[in-house]
Amino acid sequence: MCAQTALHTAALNSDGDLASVQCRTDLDGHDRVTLYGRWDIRSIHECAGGLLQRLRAATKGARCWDLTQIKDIDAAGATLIWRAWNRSRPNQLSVRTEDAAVFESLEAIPAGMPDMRSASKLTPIAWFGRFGLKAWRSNVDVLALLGAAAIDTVAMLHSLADIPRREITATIFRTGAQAIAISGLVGFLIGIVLCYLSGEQLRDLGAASYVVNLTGFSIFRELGPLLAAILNAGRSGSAMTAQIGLMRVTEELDAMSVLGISRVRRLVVPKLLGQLVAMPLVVAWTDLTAIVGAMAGALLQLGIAPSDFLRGIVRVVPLANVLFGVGKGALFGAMVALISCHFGFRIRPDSDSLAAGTTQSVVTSLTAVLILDAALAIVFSDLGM
Amino acid sequence: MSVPIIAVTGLETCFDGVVIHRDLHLEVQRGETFAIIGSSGSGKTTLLKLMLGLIKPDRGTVRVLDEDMSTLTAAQRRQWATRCGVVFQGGALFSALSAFDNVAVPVREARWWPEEFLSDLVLVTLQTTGIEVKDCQKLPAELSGGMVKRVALARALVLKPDLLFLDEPTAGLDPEQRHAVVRLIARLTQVFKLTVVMVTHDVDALSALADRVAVLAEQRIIIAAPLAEVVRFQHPFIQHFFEGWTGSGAPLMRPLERARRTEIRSSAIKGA
Repeated sequence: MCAQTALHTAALNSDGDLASVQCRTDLDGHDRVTLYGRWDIRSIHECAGGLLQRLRAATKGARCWDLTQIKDIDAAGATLIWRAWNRSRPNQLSVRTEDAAVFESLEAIPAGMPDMRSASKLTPIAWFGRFGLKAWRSNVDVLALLGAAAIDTVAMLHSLADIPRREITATIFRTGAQAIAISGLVGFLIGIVLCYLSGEQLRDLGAASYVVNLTGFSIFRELGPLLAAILNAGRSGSAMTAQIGLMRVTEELDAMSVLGISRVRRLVVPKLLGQLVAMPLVVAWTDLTAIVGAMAGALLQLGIAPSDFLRGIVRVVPLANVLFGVGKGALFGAMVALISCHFGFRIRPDSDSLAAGTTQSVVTSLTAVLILDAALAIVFSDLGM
Repeated sequence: MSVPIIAVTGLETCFDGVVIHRDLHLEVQRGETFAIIGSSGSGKTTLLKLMLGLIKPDRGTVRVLDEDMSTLTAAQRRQWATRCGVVFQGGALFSALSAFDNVAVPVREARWWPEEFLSDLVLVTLQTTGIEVKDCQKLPAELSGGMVKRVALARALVLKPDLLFLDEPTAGLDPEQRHAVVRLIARLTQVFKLTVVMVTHDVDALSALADRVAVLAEQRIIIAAPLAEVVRFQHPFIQHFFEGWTGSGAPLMRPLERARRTEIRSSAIKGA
């Protein structure tokens, strides 16, 4: 029950106006609540909780509400009052015409609205099922993309003028020339690390000279192509996905469709062919710098002269292994290009999707490269031995 | 005259050696709707960005809401931002967030309102700009151009700002939507007691909303006056800009009508 005296709680705004709640008992014995001051978000945000408490206290037993003395009210103030009323108008309410609209808006909000930010929860089995289905569809889509790219490439060979030379050379430049510094540095450092770690073990066994065999084989067959592919997926693959995804956001993909331009021919084939040309060269360069690194490591740690190291490499690493590694680079490059383009086309026109698509593209590319590498290692285990 | 809500003095802006503004002066009074017009590339949007503190001037001062925009600290800027609403040309809604969450962003950032009451506040604000509850969970990509503008308006107004900046508020809308958005802005300006600064090419919006119109040409404001006065001002850009405008808020001459008149004029010349 409200007391005869005014209940006061308020916020001071810039004009010194108070948002206040006043309860009094009329002569006829009815409780009457009158609101004063500014009831806008700027004025009441610091004491919204306190005001709501006062309003709720005033609601108990009050039959008549007078809102005509309010100086200014907005959605925030009305929301607070509406909450105190428990989402329904009191029986006797006086409100100015210009303020009535905001209460009408609140009345129009359906009761029991679902939680605005609720997300559907999946059981673990459903999650795995959905993940498996997505992975299967992605595989099918990548294969379809490969098929479309193959058909378009063959079609282009019949009409050489249609070959997108500029796009292909741009891809070669971006994935090849611009990757020289980073792949060279990584190759060199990995060469040193490999030589130092294996050299230590081999020296203890009295087989220090075998460091040449070990580093030579591992760099040319595995590390060179893998390092190049990992860098390629992170650098160029993500860029390809982001480029195509942004084209979706800016409706360039739709424009291409409307203009009758084949997306596969203009976007996928140049990237695929560019990667097929650039990646073997990047692998060869990474091999070279890794060998230089290993050579430096061998000289510093084991005292093996660079000329001896090189002679050893030529003697123990058959050419087939070198070519196999370089060929693997081409395969990895093609796979990265296809996966990156596939995820680029799947991006929806929003920033979250762009970020998620790029991440998925890189992770999938790396996984696919490792799986392919393992498969090739098993199938061609006898090659050049 | 009262202290202006925006005061630009001696402004000079250059990009890569190209002068955009030179010795530009401008004042916006509290409570007025102030429109800026000018040809493409004249620096209207740049001027708006200078007022928002997104670009720093090479010379001169820009004071908005009693703050010098080039000396604001991060904390002052956050405080200042709660007093300004901005509607960018394309809406600039956060594409990953629903209409509801877009409007909730400023309130959550300012920590002005308890999360438990937020949904009512946001929904009412969205309804004020004409967005129905059923559309609140849609992503910006699923909204029409007019709805994007309405959500952007709701986001700009949810903290009850003193000052609203509008960059081409009717750009990219069909005539029906354009008129609806102009009517909405006119209503909201009254309801929220706003001062509005608007960059526009839309003569209908100018005549319906603007108390004063500033014309940006030759790197400065050549006139800032009520529309009727601006239309009479003798300057090639102004004459070209208002060519065919009938005044008194009537819409621009329809392209077909204009073509027909040109045709009639051509045949009259041939006949002569």
